[in-house]
Amino acid sequence: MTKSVSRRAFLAAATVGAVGARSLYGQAGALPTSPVAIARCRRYDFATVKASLATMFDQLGGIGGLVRGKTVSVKINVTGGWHVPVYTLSPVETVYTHPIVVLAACSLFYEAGAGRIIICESLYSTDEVRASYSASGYDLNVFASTVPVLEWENTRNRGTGGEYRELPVGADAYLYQSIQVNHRYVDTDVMVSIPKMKNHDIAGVTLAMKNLFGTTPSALYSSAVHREDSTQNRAAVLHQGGMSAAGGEVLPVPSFDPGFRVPRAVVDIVRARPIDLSIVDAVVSMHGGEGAWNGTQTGIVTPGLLIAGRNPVCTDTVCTAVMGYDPSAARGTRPFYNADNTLALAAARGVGTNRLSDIEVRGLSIDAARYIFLPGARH
Amino acid sequence: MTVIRSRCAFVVFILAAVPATGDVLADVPGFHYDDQRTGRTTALGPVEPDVLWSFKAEGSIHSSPVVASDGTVYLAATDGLLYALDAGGQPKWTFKAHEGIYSTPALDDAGNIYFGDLDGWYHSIRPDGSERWSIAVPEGVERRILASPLVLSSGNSYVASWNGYLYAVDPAGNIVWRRLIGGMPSSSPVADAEGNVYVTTLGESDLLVAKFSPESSTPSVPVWTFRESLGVNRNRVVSSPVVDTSRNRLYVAASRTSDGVLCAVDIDTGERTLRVVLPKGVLSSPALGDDGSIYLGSVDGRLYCLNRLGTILWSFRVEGYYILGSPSIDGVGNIYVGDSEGTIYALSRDGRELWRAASQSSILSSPVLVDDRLYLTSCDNRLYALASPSRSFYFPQVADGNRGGGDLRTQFLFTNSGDDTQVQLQFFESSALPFALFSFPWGSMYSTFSLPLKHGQTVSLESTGFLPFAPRELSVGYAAVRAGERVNGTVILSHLQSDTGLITYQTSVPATEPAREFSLFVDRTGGRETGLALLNAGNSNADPQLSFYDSSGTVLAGRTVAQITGQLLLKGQHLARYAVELFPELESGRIERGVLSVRSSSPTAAVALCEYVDDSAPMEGALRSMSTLPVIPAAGGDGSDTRTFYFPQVGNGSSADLGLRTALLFTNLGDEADLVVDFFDSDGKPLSLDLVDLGVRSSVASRVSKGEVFSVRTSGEGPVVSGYARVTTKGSVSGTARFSYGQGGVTLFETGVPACGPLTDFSVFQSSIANSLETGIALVNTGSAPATITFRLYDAAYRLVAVKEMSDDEALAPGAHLARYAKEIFAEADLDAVPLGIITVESDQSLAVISLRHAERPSRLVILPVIEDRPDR
Repeated sequence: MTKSVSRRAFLAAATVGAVGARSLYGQAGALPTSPVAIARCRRYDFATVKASLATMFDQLGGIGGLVRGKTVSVKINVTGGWHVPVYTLSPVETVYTHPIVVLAACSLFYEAGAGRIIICESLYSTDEVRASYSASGYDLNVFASTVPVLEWENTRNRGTGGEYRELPVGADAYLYQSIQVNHRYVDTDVMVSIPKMKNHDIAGVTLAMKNLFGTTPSALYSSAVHREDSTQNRAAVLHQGGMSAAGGEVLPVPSFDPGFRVPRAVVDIVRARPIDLSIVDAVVSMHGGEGAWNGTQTGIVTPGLLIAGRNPVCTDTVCTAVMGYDPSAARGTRPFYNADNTLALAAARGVGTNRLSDIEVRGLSIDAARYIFLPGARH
Repeated sequence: MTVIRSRCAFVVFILAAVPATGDVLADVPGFHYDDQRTGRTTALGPVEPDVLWSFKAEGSIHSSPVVASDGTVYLAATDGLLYALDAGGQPKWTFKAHEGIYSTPALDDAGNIYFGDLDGWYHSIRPDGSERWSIAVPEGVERRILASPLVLSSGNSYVASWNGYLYAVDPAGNIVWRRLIGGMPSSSPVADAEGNVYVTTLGESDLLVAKFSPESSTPSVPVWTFRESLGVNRNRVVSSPVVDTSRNRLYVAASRTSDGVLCAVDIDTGERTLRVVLPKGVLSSPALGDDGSIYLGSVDGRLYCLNRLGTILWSFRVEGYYILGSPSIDGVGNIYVGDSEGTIYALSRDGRELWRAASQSSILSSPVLVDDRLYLTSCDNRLYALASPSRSFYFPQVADGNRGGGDLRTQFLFTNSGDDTQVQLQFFESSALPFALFSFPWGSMYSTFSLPLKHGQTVSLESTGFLPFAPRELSVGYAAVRAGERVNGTVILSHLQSDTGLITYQTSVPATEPAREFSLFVDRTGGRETGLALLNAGNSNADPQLSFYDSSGTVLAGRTVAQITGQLLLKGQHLARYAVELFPELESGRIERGVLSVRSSSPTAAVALCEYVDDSAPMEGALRSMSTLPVIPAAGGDGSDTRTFYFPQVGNGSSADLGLRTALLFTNLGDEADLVVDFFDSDGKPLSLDLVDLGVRSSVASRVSKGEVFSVRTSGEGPVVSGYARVTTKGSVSGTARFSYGQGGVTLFETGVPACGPLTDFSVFQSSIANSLETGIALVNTGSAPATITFRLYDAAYRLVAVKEMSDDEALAPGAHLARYAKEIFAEADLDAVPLGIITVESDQSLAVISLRHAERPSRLVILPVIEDRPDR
């Protein structure tokens, strides 16, 4: 199957997806749940952020047991490294996970006894890894002086690993039977996702789960041809349904609807590479989209929050509510104007609950934390 | 809301011409107050940020409230509800839109409410909450309406949608025309004075402004379009433009790749007349000051003030990261703006912080000012109504400019015994038009300004008497003051010789609170003339009734202001006339003394000034005196209680180089009453004075009939003596004193000395200049035991400079009198280092007190107020 699919086929695929999604949204039952902590934090001040995270980790039962003596991979979000400002504000402020949040989290992991901490992101730059992170606004010297066991990895492709690692999604995968990833996401004991709280042009929201979209190698998920030097994003495959070099699509009739594919790809990835801890940077961010490329529909927001949880669906559900949305909202309603609801799809596969009533919120309440994000445009 | 007191320091003053506001009916019909989106109102903001009430909506509030003429507040929230609240914050009704509301509503002349929602619906709601019509804008998939509609007096409205269209909608809800302007229009359309409509958007990578003329035959065809390259095609134009009608230009701001830009566009030609690059992007809508200054916030966290040439005059850094909302300007030029952390700041027009207060989340809207109240919305879902108790008072006569070879100047002294606050000043000419009294370093003259006043702080402001680089014609008017409840002040009017700078005369004008009924002494003895200044401080026009009673209490004449001047005393207007101009009968009847009573349907503030020129003086004009006569309140009570009041300084006699005379004037507004005046020396022993027509006496008793004016005057003969007078009466008797000081038989000056009652805690101004100006106090112990008195001297910044305690052997005996200059009280202190400040007085016995300021070369005396409060209490 190629992208030269007929409009009829496209509509048929989209309909199948939509119907499937509606039926899945209705599922409930004893889904995994875990507390989510919310803290007020208005400044990217290291001491303040660290103190807030420390409190939140305590509220979540502590992180000692999670990270002590372990290798911790920290997936941050610098959106590949397109360093373009939003309304003249640097992407470090508005688009990327802020370095201070990452530094504070890693500092706490280190103090809790983490053996190795690897900061991971798929950077489109072909520069040396450390230079690529520096170009994204991360001061590596500060990190090194604060967290001695810290390492940096560009997981865009194979990176320092000898080969890709295949992670099975499990039963009832949406799009892929398995996901190919950089070895760092496998050769680790603990997977931490630290995204920025943002809208997403397609998915509606991008949070802890969507952050793992970037774990998929460009070399395999940007086209049908495996090109190890690829610096392309994954839109052609994961958004638009182009064939991937990784293969493994499960749909009998491919969908080319990004609104169908993106949320399902996210759920498949998260099922293949489970997240152990999610920390969402919502101190300052943007709304209406996930980066400057979303253009005129974006804006600046200052929720002044940090949100963390062990279960990514629960964490993202609370985040979605904080952003002013119904976490169970159907496609076509905000913020899911252009896509199926990732949270509901994840819940349907048993990753975690997207029912607020089933999630214990610690620290600041959702009502007190709520900060309305204006969703991006309808397509 | 957490209230955080201001930390700002004392300021400067500011000056500019704002339209006379009076007390205009409160009404905020749309975003930034008017069709031009000036962001400026005549209403005053609170002097301190106290929360009167708050209302919590179900959703976050991104838009500004609007206020109907009946005080109803309309609030649109992202929960999709339009809330109507009464002025007390109580909900009246809600209207549910199809989706969240982000646009500030707009009101038409009938009070109907217009707004758009996130689903692309455009609504019109009646004031009772019922729907008039709702229309869905037809084009496009994404049709959300974020910007505030523009509703013109024609009833037509203009609204822009993210589908890229500008729609013209008639009053019935029909789309009359539409125009695709592109982008995702998010800023509110504006109009000029002729009703031409301007809209901005992002056109490709340009900032685009289009002008439409609704009255033309092709209303949907732009008259012109203006484009300014932004270099990027991703930064939506969020900032709404503002039209400066007096300069025929429009200001519009936007974000470029790495900086911001503000452009001025000629509204006739569409040509750019100004471009200013700012360090960072702009989402805030500019506000336009009364002098053409532009205020706008930036994502660099600064509020910028630019003059009309584009020069940045100042910037103020908020504590939050960004300014995403828009500033608002009040009637004295104060600017209010919120930051991304939820703190609102009040700034004076020169950029000094007046106060700040914190909400719980970002402020994306523009504060709204209505009648001493500030409405603020926040992303914490709340609408806050901020208002604070304040004092309003007037100085009924101020002047500035040149006349007859001399310069008239006005000095204001203020001190604050309460919490940090501010003083808001407005100056008006007699016609109620703005009166530009002060100038700023950048050359502008202002008729309104405010200044922060911290606890215990004292400030002095003095007009220049001339314009920058030009002579100034004399302007006369009054000052309206609004300040914290424990702020006190006075005005000192000075006339100086232009060539020598020497003072011709000085007199104080006390702070006056308006009343509907009061009286004033009129003294024409010895060639004196008494002038009267009245101002209508109420909300309505009035025709005050003026009645003159001669010294026997007989009504000589009565007439209204309209009968005298041919017109009513309109609200905000001021009338200054000599008594003889109001009542020519005084001249023809050779009436020298009496009382002028005033009754008005509107609160009226007044002062009487008595002018005296000693004809025997060798230099004509140089020995003119002006003394202030107090306002006599309307009679109250039944007059059965014994009252005692004092004149803490009287004097009489003559020597080779000194001549003193004292005149006491009394009148009785109530029933006939007995009056006893006793004179005492500094030890509290009876003091014999040579009194005109009464001989040498230490006590005078009289029965004063209703309306009668009774006077006790010393002759000026005999040895020089001084002391005080005690007045005991049972009736509604009021009095004042006039103190005359001369040399060589020539009267150098006269000054009015008010009566006072006993106090134990008070303060007085300290105002001195080495070898030329000094402050003095006269005290009488009216208690029954020796008074231990503690004097504390504070400088203008409320730093304690010196303390003097008079106790034990120094304690002031009962009935004893003490008159000292500050340099004598604080003999160890360097008074030259304290040119301005206050002296607080604490006593364990009640004291009667007056305060005065004496100028040397030539010798002049002016009475300063006794402040019945002190900051160190």
